[in-house]
Amino acid sequence: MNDCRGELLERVRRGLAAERDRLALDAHLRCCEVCRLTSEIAGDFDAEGEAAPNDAELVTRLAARARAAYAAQAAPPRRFTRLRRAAPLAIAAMVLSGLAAGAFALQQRAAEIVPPPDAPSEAAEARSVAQERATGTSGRGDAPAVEDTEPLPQDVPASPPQPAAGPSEAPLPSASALYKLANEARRQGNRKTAMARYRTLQRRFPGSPEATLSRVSLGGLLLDSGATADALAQFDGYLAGGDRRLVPEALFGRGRALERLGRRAEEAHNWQRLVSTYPRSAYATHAKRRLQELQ
Amino acid sequence: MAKPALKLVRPSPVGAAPDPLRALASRAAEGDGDAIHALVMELGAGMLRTVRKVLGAQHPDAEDVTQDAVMGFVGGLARFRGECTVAHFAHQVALKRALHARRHFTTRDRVGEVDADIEERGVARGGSPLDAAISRERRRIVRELLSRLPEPTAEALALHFMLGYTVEEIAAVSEISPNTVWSRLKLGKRALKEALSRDRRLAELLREKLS
Repeated sequence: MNDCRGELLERVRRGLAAERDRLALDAHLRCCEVCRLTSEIAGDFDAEGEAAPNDAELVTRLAARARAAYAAQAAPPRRFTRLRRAAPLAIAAMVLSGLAAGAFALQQRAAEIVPPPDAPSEAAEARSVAQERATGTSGRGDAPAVEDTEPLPQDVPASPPQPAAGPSEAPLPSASALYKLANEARRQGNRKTAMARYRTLQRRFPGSPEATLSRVSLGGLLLDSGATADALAQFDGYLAGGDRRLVPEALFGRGRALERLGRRAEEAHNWQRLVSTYPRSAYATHAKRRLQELQ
Repeated sequence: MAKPALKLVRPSPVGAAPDPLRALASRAAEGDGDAIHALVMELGAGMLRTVRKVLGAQHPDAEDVTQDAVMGFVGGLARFRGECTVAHFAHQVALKRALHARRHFTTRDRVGEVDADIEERGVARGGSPLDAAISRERRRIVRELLSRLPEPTAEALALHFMLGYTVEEIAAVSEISPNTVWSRLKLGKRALKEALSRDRRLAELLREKLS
């Protein structure tokens, strides 16, 4: 029972396949029973990977319990049944950490699904970190003006040429390096640093693919921090561009922003667009639920 | 047909891109509370989805099993040797815990109840109620089979069908050769094909669809 085109099936399943690959797979599935069965069963289970509305809170609880169990104890509990007895501590930790996590986990998932388009090498990253330390900046908007005029490294994609004005030998972080640094800060929970780096990326490399993608990540962080209007502007900015990779995530964030702003008609239209365009996305269930509530 | 060339998506460190979570995982392994928290925030949702795929989308024990998996994952970081990415490691732990939990459930009928939501989703996304019922039956058969198969075979099959791992990714997370993965998948798929062909309810539904 060979899985003769398994690699093609996985590419399609992950959304990494080109249109010609899809056509090739469709043609193959019509004549190969084994691959057809594999494809059908894979599809059956993919439907169960959808996110639920309360997942972010649940993950926050899991994280708080894990921290409480492992950071505070030399010998961690072996089973969850013991851990549950420590629930008050976990709940307290959760409350302290706040419910602001919101859809943070979902946003992170988006970054997990779509890696940076041009991940920098370790050397490039090291250069960018060294540069950051050397200039004392964290990517904040108040960075020294000289940084904006330093020569860019060669690996900066699609960024406008900038004149060299400073004598510094350290290269400016590339768009991909900045994007990676911002993502790392976000993953480590350094939300302010992450937001500052995303903003720097957008200011310095406004036309780069990384700046475009960063709008979704920054939008999520802004939404969680209560800056709803700014978040909406970020999501709108992404959707106005040509990139399609994070459209479901951008629509999800935009819908939540509109919900908080009380713009019900626009919110309903947004969810309708998500459901009709991406019916299999992880956010479709949430969108349908909101549509029902809005009726 | 011949086996495909095993040249696709290889998890780090075999691949070129460094694992973005490796440094965070190292800190978490040393007991850094912030790192543990950040790591679970990053990977917890994926682990939860993995558990749901094995148990059923709204299984009442999904949170408990996921919590157990998270504890196993964090506790296992000290022994993690980097044969695969941290994310793959986390998902594998979640899958193993969920498979183990499923084998030990005494109230298996509870699993059946919670699939109704998935069926509704299937209908809502454009499939017919009959298609949704067929999909539900196939999931039930796969899950029952996973509980009966030898654990290594069940794990390979679940990683492939439920998480969409390639042969090489399964080999990396399980620390076995791709040929061994191929053998296990072959055995598992053969057993699955037999189970599907023997199931009366599914056969009736398929007949109904053809008629």
